[in-house]
Amino acid sequence: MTKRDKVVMINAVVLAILVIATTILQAATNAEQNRPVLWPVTIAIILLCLFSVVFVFIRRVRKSTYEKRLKPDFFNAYQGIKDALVSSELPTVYQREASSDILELLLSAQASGKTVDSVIPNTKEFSKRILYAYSSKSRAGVIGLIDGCIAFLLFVLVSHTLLWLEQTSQNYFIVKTDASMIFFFIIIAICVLPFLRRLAAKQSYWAYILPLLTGILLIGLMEISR
Amino acid sequence: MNDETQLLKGILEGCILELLSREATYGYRVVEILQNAGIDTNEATVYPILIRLQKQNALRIEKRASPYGPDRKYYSLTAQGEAMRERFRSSFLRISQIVNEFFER
Repeated sequence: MTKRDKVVMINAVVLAILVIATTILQAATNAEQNRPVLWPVTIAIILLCLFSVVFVFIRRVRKSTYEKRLKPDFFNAYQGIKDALVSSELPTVYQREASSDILELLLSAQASGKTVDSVIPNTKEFSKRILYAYSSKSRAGVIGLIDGCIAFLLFVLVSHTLLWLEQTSQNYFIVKTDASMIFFFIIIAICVLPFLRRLAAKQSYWAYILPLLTGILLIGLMEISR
Repeated sequence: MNDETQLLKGILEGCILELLSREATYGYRVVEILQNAGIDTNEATVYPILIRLQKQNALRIEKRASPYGPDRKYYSLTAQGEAMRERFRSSFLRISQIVNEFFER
């Protein structure tokens, strides 16, 4: 497992634990206060969290059939390039395309008896060249905006659904979402996420620390204002 | 060595276009053919050029099964690629004639 794989898995596990803990705490609080506990929803959320950790492992960490064919030195070079692509602002479709092409190229080189250094002498330089070859500033800007809009819609959908689950007697489309929450989602989707993506592209540790700090700050502000 | 590297940078893209105008082939094979012709290059140099040419719509891509891993991309030239190849060829022949005449003075 590379360093990035470990970070991805730790993030997935920590997030799953936090969501499970919050869900169980919510259920326990409701039970204590003689309020109805939505056990099917609670269990579904716990199972979804566990499934998500397994999904992350299978999709992001576990070696694919073709990756297993690479010798250790070839695999290390491939993983370094793939990490650089995944951490970049390159659209996912290009990341996958480039990763697939490079995997095939390395497998062919390996089969021909070449050494990895003769094929790709400097993986960092190679990754930069690929990113430069794919880059288009105007397109990256448009895709970033679209990504932000999709993230905003997902936040609104999930929060709206969770609010409706608390009052299922109400019609789904009548449930109101607070304006401050919408504003918060806009800030996260349009400002914070692109900023985090840039930090991740630079492989800065702030990409992992900032979300945690933001969450702690938000909870702190909520507690103070209560 | 450094002088050759600089010269190669200028002509490699044109050589790749010429190669792909003769036969549709995949990235690793492009490198092999160039190396067999005495052009000192490697996959790390050629692959980004292929991406750039693809983005410029100079290349047509066809995916075929690979014996080693994921499907291989076979590259051939589009009409735009052919036009780029012709422009490179004309420029290169003109410049090499000028340089040869200059050295013979």
